[in-house]
Amino acid sequence: MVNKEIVISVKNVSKNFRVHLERNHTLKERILYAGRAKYRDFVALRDVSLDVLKGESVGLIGVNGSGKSTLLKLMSKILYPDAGSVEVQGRVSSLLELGAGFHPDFSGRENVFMNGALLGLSRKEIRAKLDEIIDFSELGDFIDEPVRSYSSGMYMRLAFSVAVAVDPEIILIDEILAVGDAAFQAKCMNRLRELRARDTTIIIVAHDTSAVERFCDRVIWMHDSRVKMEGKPINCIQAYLATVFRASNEGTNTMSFERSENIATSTETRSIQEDARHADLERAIDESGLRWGTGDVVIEQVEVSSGSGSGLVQCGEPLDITIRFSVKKDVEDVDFGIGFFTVDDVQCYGTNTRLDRYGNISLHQGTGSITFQSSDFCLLPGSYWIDVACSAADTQAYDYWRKAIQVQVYSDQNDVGLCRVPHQWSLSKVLIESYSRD
Amino acid sequence: MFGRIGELWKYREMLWSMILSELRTRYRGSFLGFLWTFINPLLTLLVYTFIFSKIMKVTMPHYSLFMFIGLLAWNLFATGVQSSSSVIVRQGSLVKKIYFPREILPLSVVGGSVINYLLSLVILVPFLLISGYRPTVDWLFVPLILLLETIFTVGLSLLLSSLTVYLRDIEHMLGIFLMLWFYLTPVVYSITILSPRIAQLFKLNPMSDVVLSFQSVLYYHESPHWKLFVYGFVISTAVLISGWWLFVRLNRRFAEEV
Repeated sequence: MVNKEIVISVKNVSKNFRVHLERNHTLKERILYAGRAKYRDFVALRDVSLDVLKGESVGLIGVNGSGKSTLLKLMSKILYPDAGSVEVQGRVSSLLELGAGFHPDFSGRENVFMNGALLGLSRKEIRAKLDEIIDFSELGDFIDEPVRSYSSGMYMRLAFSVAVAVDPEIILIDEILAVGDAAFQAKCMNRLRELRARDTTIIIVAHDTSAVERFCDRVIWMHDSRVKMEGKPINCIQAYLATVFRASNEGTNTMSFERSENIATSTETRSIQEDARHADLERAIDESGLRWGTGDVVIEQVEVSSGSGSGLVQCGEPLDITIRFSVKKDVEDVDFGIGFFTVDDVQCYGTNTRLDRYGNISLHQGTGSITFQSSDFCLLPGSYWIDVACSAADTQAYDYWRKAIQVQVYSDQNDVGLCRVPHQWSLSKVLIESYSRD
Repeated sequence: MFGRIGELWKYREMLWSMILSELRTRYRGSFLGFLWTFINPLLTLLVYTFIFSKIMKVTMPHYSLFMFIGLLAWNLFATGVQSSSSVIVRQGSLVKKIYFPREILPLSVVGGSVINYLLSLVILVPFLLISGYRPTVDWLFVPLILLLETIFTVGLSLLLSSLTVYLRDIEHMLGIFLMLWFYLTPVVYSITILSPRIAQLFKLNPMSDVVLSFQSVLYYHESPHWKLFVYGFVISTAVLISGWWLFVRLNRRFAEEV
């Protein structure tokens, strides 16, 4: 990755929008209010710099109005920056809004030609790809109906089919994938994976953080018109979700023209663990909607370690998950629990000390730790969220922590599914000479 | 500016498809559809022939033909300018959502007008022949005059389409302004009815040059007056360059303003 060329370079870009309080569009108003036009500047981007390398898949996340879409529009040259520069190299195909460039009175087929022309394709090139495009869209008989009669999902199918058919070098996607049905979404993601494999640069704006996490190499978190954090998907998304949910709980999510100036720029590195340690008890446990409990026992830290390093394990190898906790009040009859979830929130496994028949655990004030040890960690490759909890016998949670930490599982074997079932094969009779377990 | 020309060339497919859709949408849904492209000028011609030869009894020979020649040329200009003045706002959804050189929009409107003009020649030429006119070498000037008119129309369209985004009144004022302009251009009357000094003044109007040149070539069977012609090209090119310059300056905020 280090030696790859930069295909999108955004340097110190600022962009303001004029928010017209009253639009002076007519001549009379222009003359009457000349020189004192009534508008306010809304800062959409403030001194944003970033580079995207060839073949990278980048996810842009952030709350509504944080500048993601503006950034995408600047990259696609629909908008021009007020300050700074945006340089983009290569054929760009953008899916910014549904049905841009579709003419409602023409059929889907005719619109494929027009839309293809908008993306810079000749009629000949489109004709060569027409069947492929129509097949991909699965529109069937509707392809010869005027697009006026299409549903938004059908619009999106057609738009996406054309946009990926043009063999773009860079593809910019703004949220629109959310419209399609599950099957088509999966198909789109597969198509994007194919494009990615062909070294296409992909930039996605999405609110579906799990999709971003699965798909992107890098995530850029936009907040208040700036890049707040960029880096590995897991880290950014975790920090982003924590902040958003906390803000939502505090009711500070309301959008405003004035961007707070005092936000420390660039990266926010405070981790959730540190937050929990320093913030007062109740807040810490209530944090981000992903944690709840009475706070009699507080989980301070969760560590995942294996022979491969921290947070990483090879399928089939031993894994330790250590939960460090502090006891604020003497408690009796305590359970510790753990759960593994895929990024799509499918529970793979869950258990606790009671189910595993460890008997009564009583805790006195102070700190301690408990370790979940697996000698043969059998979940298949992927990233998994780990939930940890400390609760009372009557299932009243002292501290329940959703998505406390993530573990990455890798493997050198290509078996499929969720987990590896301990197994072996035995054949009653050797039918093939070369049969052996390799 | 050469960069922009190169970019426009890259998007020629889009320009072509915009022109086609412009032409096709115009009569879409009507029973006779595309035939209207021919029926319209034909009916216009019949109406004028009827009014001027039967009711008003104009003495000028083949007056309806004289007028038709000027009217077709005028229509190219007037519909082109009028329709492109609002084209950026009208196509706001495109401007906001995808990138393309914005010049495509006014160019496609003018392109549609030019093609319409060429199609109405299908009516004009037989009518010339029926009226006893035979093709002459002077007819070869027609493409050149058409080029002159196109340059002027494109220039003014670029100018007005970009201004209209910021000043919506233009679209409405333009109708009245074009009507006045129409009567200041020798379309329905011959320039010879004016006093020489007034006529000289009228020839400053590039559209007069265009209409007069068409009339010389098709009606009077002579070459266009070359001084007039060169003047027309100089003015039109100046309008094109300044119109484009303004367009390039204003086009950066189109997506925010429409």
